[in-house]
Amino acid sequence: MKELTLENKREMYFMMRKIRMTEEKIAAHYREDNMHTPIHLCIGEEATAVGVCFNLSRTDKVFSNHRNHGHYLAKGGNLKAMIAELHNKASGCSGGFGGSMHLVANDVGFPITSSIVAGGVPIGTGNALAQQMTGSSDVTIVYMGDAASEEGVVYESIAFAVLKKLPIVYICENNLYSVGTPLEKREAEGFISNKFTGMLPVVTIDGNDVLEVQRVTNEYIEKARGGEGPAFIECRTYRFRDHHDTKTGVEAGYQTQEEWDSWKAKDPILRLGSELMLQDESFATAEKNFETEWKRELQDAFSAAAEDSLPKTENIAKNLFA
Amino acid sequence: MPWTRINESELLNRDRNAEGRRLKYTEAIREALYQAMKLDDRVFVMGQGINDKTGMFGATTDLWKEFGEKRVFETPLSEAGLTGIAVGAAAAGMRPFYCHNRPDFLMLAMDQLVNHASKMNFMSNGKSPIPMVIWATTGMGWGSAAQHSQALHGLFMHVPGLKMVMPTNPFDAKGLVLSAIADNNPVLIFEHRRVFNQIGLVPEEPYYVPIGKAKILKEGSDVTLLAVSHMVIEAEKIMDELESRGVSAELIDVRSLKPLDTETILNSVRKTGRVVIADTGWKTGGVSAEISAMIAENAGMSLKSNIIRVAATDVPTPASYVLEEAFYRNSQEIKEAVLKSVGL
Repeated sequence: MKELTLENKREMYFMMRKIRMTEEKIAAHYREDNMHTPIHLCIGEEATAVGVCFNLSRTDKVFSNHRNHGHYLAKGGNLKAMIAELHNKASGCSGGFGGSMHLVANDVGFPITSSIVAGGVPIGTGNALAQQMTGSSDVTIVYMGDAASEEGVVYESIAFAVLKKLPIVYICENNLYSVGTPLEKREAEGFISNKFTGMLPVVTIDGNDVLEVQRVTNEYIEKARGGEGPAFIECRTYRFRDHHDTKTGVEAGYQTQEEWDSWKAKDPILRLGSELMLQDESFATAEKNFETEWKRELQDAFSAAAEDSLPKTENIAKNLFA
Repeated sequence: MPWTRINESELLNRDRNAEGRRLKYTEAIREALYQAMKLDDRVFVMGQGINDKTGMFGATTDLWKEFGEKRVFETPLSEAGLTGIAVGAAAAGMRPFYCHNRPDFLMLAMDQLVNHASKMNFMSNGKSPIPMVIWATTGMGWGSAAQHSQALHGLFMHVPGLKMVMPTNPFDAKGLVLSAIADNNPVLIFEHRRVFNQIGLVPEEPYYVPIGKAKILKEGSDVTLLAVSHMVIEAEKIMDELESRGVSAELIDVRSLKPLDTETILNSVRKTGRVVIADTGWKTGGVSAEISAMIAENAGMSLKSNIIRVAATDVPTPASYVLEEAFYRNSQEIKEAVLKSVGL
């Protein structure tokens, strides 16, 4: 496998920061009540979005879930269309019909998202079946959380993907909580990967190390692309904010400060940032320029979303049928 | 796919001795699947048991020999997962046709049908059409009992974004399968085991029976008899007797439940002023309830007598044949309802 260049690492770093800055801005404005949609922030989990999507081409497909802001942006989804969707506007990526849990960007390989936990897992698997049937060289990525892996349909989907050797990689973002219920109350120790071991290659990695995420998933993505079948990658990570609110899990009462601090020390952005600071002398300047530029883009997106029109009520049934 | 210029009413007006090529019901479906796959590379057929010798009562027999096991494939019994896989393949531009021996097992796939297939195009603002077909056969009799003979179409009637048809003769079976596959939306086809033995005129070339159209089987002026699925066959048995008793009943095969052909139904009701609805499903909250409400809302002032519903008893299907008889409605009960409706 090719060694990553500093440029590659910078690209991943800035993408993680884009996601973080975007969500922090969403959080900062959420209480103003202009975004009437539940938001599921992925602050702290950016490495799994960025490390995986770095390995993909535009036509590879990513199937996400309710916590999809990071995946959408990392796959190349349009910022303005996303912010407009969060503002319930007709210019949103789903025209105001989907909201934050159903972001879509077909032009960059990000088809419609399901917010039924694990609902997108078989759908992504069906996409991989279509890729195989049409002789495409594209692959499919399905993101699921730790709780999604508790749904029976995940087992059914993986079993079928193995049977047909489908070009798909399942990424499990294990952030240790299902809403506020901790993993150890839901599953026996080590279960997330154990329950699929023996069916397909299963790897558990540090989901807060974007370079490890990139390296390991690249290996299995290329195997899947080459016809070797699916893999399941469990990425251990942590959600710094509440399930669907802007406060932290500590403030919400289910995470301890001690646990939160221990994960904060493993913040994926801080980790790569400090590495780049040492390796790359022009990094500090580049980061400053990036911040200025992305702040401006965010401001533009929020201003545009505020100005844009709301959906027309006479169109309510327009897309009931195709 | 091109629409052919078959004159449907002409074929329907022919009696059983009419000239023309005749096929058994499931042969007509098989021919539709064969032609759909020949016409469109995106079409594929899946389901548990489809490549058995008796594949889906004959509807899929040996299709895999023609098209290969990549396009006509057996599935594991993972109805939820495989329905989602069909949704995903459809979203990616394929046209899956997913077969089930029994609709009872669709209950395992409700999440994918109700939460996903029906909503993807809507919630993506028209960016994710789901052109897929779910085909399932309702059983009846021989002690099939509570989990192998349910008529569950009423549940799906409630869900926006799904289309649903229930053909009752070989001609419609072929034409509706072809239309369902050509449709850009999820379409449910609920067959009934008791209509499979029919033989009827089926044109050889591909043709398309429109989804959303009911079919007037016999015109009449006294009472509108709306029949669904197998109840059409039961209703047909009593038409002569009603005629001989001086009752002019208009028999309509509802055929397409979603969308419902409200125009044909209401036109008939406004003409006759009396309605009997015969359905294979349960009465409460079911298809007969919806059709009754639709009629009451739109043509209530035209009614000369109460709407009468002939529907399955509101209990699970029992096994013993004496109990089965008490559970299912039959032609006699439809006849009594029609007579009551006209005051006889």
